Amino acid sequence: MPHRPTRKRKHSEKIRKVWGRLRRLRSSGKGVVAGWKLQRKHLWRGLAVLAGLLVLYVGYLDFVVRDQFEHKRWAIPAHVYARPLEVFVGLPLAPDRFAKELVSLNYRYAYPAKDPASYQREGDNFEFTTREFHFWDAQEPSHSIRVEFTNNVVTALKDRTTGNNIELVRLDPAFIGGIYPAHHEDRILVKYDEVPSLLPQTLITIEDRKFLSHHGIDIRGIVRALWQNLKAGATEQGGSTITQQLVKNFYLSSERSLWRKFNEIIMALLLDFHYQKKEIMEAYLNEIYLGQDGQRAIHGFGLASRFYFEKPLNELSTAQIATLVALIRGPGFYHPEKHTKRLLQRRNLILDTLAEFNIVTQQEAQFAKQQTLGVIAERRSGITDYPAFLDLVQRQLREFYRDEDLSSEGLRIFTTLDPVLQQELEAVVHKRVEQLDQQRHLHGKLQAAAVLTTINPSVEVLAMVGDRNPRFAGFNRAVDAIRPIGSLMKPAVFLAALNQPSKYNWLTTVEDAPLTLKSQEGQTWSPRNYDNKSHGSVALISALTQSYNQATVNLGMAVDFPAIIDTLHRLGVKRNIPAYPSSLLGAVEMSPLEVVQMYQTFASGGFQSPLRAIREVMNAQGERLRRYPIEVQKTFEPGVITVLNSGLTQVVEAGTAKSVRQQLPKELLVAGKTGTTNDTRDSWFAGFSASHVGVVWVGTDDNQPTGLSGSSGALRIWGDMMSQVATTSLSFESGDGIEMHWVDPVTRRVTDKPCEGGMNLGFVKDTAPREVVDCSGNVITAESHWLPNLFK
Amino acid sequence: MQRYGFIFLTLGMVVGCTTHMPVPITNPGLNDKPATDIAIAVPELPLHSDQPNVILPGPQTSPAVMKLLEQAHSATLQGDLASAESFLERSIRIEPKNPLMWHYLAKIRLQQGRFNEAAGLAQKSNALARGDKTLQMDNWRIIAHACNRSGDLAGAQEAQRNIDALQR
Repeated sequence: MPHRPTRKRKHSEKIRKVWGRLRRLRSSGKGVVAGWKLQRKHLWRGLAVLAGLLVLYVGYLDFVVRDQFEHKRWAIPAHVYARPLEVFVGLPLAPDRFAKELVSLNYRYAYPAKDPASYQREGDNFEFTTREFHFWDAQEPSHSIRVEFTNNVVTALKDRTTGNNIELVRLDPAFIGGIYPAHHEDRILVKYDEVPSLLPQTLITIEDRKFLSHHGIDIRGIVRALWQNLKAGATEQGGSTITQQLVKNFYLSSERSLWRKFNEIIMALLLDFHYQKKEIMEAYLNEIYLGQDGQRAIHGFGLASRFYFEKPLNELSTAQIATLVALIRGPGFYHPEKHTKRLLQRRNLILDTLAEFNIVTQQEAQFAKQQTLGVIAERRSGITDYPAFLDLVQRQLREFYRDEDLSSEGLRIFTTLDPVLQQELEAVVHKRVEQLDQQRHLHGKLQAAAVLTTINPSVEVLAMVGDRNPRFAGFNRAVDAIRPIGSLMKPAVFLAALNQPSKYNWLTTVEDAPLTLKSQEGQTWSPRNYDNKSHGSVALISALTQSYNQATVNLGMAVDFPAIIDTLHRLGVKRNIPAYPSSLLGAVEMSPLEVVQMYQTFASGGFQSPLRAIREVMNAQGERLRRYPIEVQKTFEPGVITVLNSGLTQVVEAGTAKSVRQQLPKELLVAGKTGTTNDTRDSWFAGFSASHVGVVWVGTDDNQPTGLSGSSGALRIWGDMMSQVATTSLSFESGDGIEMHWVDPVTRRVTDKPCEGGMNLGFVKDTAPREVVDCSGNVITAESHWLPNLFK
Repeated sequence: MQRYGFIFLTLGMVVGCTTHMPVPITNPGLNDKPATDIAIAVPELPLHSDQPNVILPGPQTSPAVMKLLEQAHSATLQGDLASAESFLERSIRIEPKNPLMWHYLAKIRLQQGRFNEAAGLAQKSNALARGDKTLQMDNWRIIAHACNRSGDLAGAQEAQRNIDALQR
């Protein structure tokens, strides 16, 4: 090392020169001495200013450290709840589904079920105790209840304490997820006292052995790291304490500079000065970055545990805790799938170190080292089991709330989700899509979206699936798959016609014949029917139930475009509808959710309601912030909708959706429409009962033909879905300006009773043919028939 | 049923269509749609509803719904309309075809000064209130009142015609 003495010599020469100059200055007279004094005064002043600035700066850092730490520590995610189940005598509900509801609420099976959140079951009778819960309208105390079911209906409801019958009990709602949208950082907060003690022990052993004794920084650690780095010739050890790592994550950018290091050290000292080790460790546990899921950054051990292992932190094995701690050094560098070997090595190194420091026994470490990583391959969203629904909730929330409010204010969001129906819908979608995919050799490409809503009291989303793998938080097809709706458009065309009852009723004829239309640009368009045949003069009802394209276009052209577009808007369709004839056959594109909005108007008898996923928002203190109120607006006369619905019922009874009858209870009357687009690229079904609307889409993301029509694809899922809901049958009665008649759709005549192939259809009063025939086609004189008397 | 005799009496009086329209909303700062009272510019229509108009729930109403109505009523008396509307929504979930529940909710909306919503709910109640002239008339009064207050004179007049027709 020859340079060292040289440098030293140079340095001492410099010092000698400076001193020599100073001495000369002193000895050279008064003026010079005064000049020197003046300079020294400036120096002191300068130093004082510098010290002042430093104090100010440290004061500023102190403010930043404390302000952010306090706020961050108490930032609570928005909590999202499912709808609470209300139980009352007369409620149609299967006991098994009630049991599922209790499980989704994390009630535990216990005898005698006296503690909150416990239940016991004997046959069809349950005894349970609810958790107390603060709702929008009341504080619901814990209730101890006995409920009895007979034939899938609640038949008795008693207070177990008093033995008295009670009218109604509201269970606490299931927690379905949290919202952390700010900076795409996602975390589930954990409390220090709730985490397994092995985790902080491992962190201290691996990351910062002096954590409990140092003052935020570890001088010896820094020196050791410097020495190690010097030896290795590269940066291997950071020498950062847990406190410093926290400071880096909390306050500082990722840039590497001396200035940043200076800030880091000062802030670490300040943090340690102000807060207890336990608080710092808790913040670290919640703050540290542990992975990436698309745009979403996985922060903290609470979420990482869910994300990588689908388990809460306190259920993790020693090996799994070691794996999470291994990820701290670089979740990308130690990616569980891309760098499995690397991660395994580091995990095992950690396990050995733990054994070395007697945190775990040698045997435990050896056992843990034998384990596979156990990281689940298809990682689901760490925030919720229901990513598609939560996505919708967040979209609706963003209309009123800033992202930072959602992520930090501890809002309590009360939604419309029915967790049991949701789980059932997920299961049927998954099963059917797998089946259909295999059947059609689509190699896993087949996708689906399904939405189930109630219409009482408003259009509320009960269940929603946006992917064939419903737990996958990715592209939410229920909201974002905008696809041509095909024949789902037809009811709007028929409604526009039926809304002119003097011109059109179900027995009016329409030509199902080839036609060619020319656009203004000179392009021609010749729609064809699904079976490639034309069916001549047919009744409107046949054109609808058999979904004839040529007849529909002819009808649409006769009714006129503006009336149809107006009808669509009154049905709640917000999109611009291009005034092309192809729009009549559903070239219009919509998402499944938009289709729900359109079909709910039918189900609600001509009343429009905005679709809602949220009922109420409260803050962390239980104060009421916002209600999403019931809004209904009459956009059609209920009578004409009854007429239309009677026809849509025949689509299911005798038309293109007939096959679904096998899946549904015999007595359940529903209505709907199948939809298939060109070359079977989209398979749709939209349908409803008197209380529920369901829409299903099946297709591929790259718009490939699937070979599935509306009835062979989407309808199957819809049938599965509706057969599981306790739903109300549609019913049609004469009255309020509407007459119900039995008709023969082939001869287009009104019959005196139900005949073979007959349909029960609605007509606006006095618009049905006056002539009535019997099943053999013999005319019954109007005078001798009961109908005219009935409608006088 | 005696103990429910006074349910919604307070709301019934509101439909009397006076110029004074209290809008007691518990969280005014957070109310989505603040009431725009433009009635000053719109002449009041003569409504035949000077008497307090209270329609009581029928005997077929389920005990669960009666319980909720009781709670809604007591919330209303305390001026807590935000709770009352929640109790009523819950009762509609249990008996969605009961036109009276929709009618009560329409009255609450009217009192909150949310006129369009009030009219929509009254329409819904009417669609379900087959043959119940008293209820239909009361719903038309709500609609007339709401239209009047929101400046829809034509709508108010049409509602009044419907009231007249029902009274004949």
